[in-house]
Amino acid sequence: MTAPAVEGFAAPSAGAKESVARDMQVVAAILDGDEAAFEALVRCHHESMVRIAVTFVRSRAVAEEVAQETWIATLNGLHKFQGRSPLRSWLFSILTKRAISRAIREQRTVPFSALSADDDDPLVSPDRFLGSDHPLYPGHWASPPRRWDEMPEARLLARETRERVLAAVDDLPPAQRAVIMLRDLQGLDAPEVCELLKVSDGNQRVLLHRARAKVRAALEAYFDEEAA
Amino acid sequence: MGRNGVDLSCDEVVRLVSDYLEGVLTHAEAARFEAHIVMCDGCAAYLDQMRETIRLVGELPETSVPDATWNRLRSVFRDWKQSGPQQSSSSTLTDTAES
Repeated sequence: MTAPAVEGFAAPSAGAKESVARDMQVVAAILDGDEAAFEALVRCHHESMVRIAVTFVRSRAVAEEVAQETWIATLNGLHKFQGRSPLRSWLFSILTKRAISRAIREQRTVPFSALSADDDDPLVSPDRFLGSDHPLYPGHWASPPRRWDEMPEARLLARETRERVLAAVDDLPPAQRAVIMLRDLQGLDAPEVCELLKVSDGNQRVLLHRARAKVRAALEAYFDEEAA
Repeated sequence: MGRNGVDLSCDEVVRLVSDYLEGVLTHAEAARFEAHIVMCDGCAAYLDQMRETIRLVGELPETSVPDATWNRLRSVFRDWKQSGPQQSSSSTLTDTAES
């Protein structure tokens, strides 16, 4: 999950070859008329598609329609899928193209790059660090984070923890939400996300950094409030 | 903290944590980052929390697909299965041309 994201999909690694084989199996099953294979694919990606589409069209109902159209387009184009990029990138590229053209039709053309310049709040409160004028340890923790691995494991696995994660993701500004969902939930790599969302590599990384840091902060607040 | 490579402050480590996890720091920068983490419990905890956050986001449950969507997609699937690709469907070809 934290492997360097510098390699594109031009030169597939061993793991990438395996996932190409898996993608080709899924595609072959669906082309063969296997409804369960299609449903499994929908179950895996539909909700993420809607959440990402809503970033562009700004209404959950329209986003739901865009996601449904994406599935229809996917079925109709599936015989042309050759595994040159992962199936999920292919799905999300159909989705983002459709979402953007829908946004243009609705004259809701908010360029994605405009959505990204949405905040510059500190990700960790400055008062948790010693001041830059501290004689011994300027910029070091005044109030360091607690180790989560010292909590009972059940806390991390609890359903409420997952609900907090989901709520924190939903609270993110749209561009940050799209990037964290594509990277950390759907498992796309950095070049794929840059291509889909038409953002630079640096911008993608800033969005991801802010998104992850805010979700971490929300979880920390939740765990600390429980511990208090 | 001594010089010996441990010249980052904790607030700088917090800013660099994603670049470190993304593997975009140079070898020298990554070495400075790691030298700090080894010495500093607070930043080690922060890095672990970040990794745990990434893991938790990755494990968010598949959420339920609305019934109306299932009904529509199942009927789309069955029609598609019977008649094959709907070439007439609007803009489908341009959508999927490049795979």
